[in-house]
Amino acid sequence: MRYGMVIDTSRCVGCNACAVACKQIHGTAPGVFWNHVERWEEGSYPNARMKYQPVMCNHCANAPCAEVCPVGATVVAENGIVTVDKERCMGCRYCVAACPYDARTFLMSTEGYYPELGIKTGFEETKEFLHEAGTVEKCILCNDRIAEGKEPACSKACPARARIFGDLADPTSTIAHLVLQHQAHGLQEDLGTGPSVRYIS
Amino acid sequence: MTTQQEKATAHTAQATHTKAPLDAVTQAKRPRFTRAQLLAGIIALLCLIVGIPSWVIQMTTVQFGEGLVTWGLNIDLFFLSAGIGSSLLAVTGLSLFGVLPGVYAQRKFLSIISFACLFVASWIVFVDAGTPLRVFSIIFSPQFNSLFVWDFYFIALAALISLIILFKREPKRALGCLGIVFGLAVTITEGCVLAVSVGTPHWSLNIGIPILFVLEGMIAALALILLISRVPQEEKRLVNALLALLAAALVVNAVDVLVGAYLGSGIEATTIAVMVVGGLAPLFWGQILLGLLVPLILLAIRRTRVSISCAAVLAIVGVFLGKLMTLLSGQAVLADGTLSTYMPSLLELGACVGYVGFVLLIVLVGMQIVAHRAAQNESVLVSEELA
Ligand code: SF4
Ligand code: SF4
Repeated sequence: MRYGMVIDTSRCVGCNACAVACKQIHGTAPGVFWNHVERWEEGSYPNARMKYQPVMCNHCANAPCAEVCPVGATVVAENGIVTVDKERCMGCRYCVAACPYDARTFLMSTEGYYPELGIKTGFEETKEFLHEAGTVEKCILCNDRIAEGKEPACSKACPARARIFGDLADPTSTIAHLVLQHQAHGLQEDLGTGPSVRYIS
Repeated sequence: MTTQQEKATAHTAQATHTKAPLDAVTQAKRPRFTRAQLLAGIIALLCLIVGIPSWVIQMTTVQFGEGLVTWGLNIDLFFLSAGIGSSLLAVTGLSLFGVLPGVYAQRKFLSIISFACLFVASWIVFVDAGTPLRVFSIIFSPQFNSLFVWDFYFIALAALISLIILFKREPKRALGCLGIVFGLAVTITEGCVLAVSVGTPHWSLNIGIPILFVLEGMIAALALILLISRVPQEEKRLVNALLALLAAALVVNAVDVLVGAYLGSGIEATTIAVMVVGGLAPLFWGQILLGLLVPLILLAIRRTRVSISCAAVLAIVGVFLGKLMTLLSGQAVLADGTLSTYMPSLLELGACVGYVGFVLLIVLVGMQIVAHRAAQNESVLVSEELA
């Protein structure tokens, strides 16, 4: 089993629904995005176009972040999801330096969106237990939702069906079919990281 | 090692006491502080007054430098401290083979500095970690596929060897061998910690980095020996060695930049541009000109005490800048091509001042312990003679 995602950038409309859904589900701190949409302009007027590319942790099969972690806080699970155990992470940030995709964030504080009021919103309080200052965090492919038989929040929220979640190791799955059909590529595959997020462009 | 050399070194810590008076033979007299030691003590105290609160705040509130850089000034000081400590150990280890009698004579003093630097390097890991107490997991549940773990253990072993050399009356050559091996292992591993980081094009698979770390460590160690130890009989050899190391570091830096500029594309090419003409240029040229070229010229054209001391100070500053340069250049360009910025916070600066004070303090305490032990040994000898 190897969970992954195919992202069809030609379908992405840059609405950021995935990034917002991710923030809602995980209650990440201000400025922290486990998942975001990169945008840039191509061509020039009158033929200019906006381009969008959603990016997140690639849940690499040969995850460099897991290889360098000195205390085994980052691991690649049997189902291919790369997770960080925040109870073990010592915050050395070696994994941040090792990740070629800048997919990790070192959390300096768990302050909420309204620090000037000295309180956390009810929503922030419910998500507080998921985060710990001084540790590194990143996309966990909503492994808790997957365990309940649901799909990750980002792919669920995408209105353009640009994100398809599934098991890359299952040849009968839609995602495996899409990868084969479109020769979906991973980002910086030459590094040998074996990303489980593939792009159709 | 000859007995003469042994005698010449008996008081390495420059104990102030000379001959114990007869009425005090049975009770070892605690050696007094010299003026230099007192001055160093005051500096250490002042540095620690700034450093300790900075460490406490940094460890409890997880505050680091401003900007997007993962590893900044703290890790620069870590590499510098570990590099000096381990390279000093390697040079001291070499002296046990009889090739550097002057250094051998100073071995206790140098071992104290080596231990202090290695100990403080480990301390920096604690202060810099987001959750300091969990650093102990490296001891209790290490993941040996991470070079960071090897580095941690090599530093610990190097510190232990420094201590053994310090307290052994006549350290054997085998110990010198271990000192050389583990001293070099620390710097090589630290270079490799960066070189295996595939996420950073400027570091990854860059064989120049481990080589540069070894060279920089040796440069700093030799410069320190020339600066603070009296080794007149070996000064010429040490200066020649320093000269060669500075030239080699200059070549490795030049090759690194030229190869990057010629072959590099994308992030690597942008990184080289940032280094040479961009935001990191002051650091890059500061290291090349002030830290490598000027000391090289100073040592090549005139070898007075003043010029050697100036060159030694500049060489150490150059190593500091060089390591910071290596760290920041690797993190200068993000995966999406945007440039990162970094400015150390006041807290980071305060913490770094504290590390310097901590090294000084350990050295001073170490010198006192060694001097005290020497005084005790001497008094025992005199009592035995009287008996
Ligand atoms: S994208 Fe980065 S954080 Fe995610 S598994 Fe790969 S190396 Fe690790
Ligand atoms: S920051 Fe945490 S997860 Fe990352 S390498 Fe260090 S201990 Fe492992």
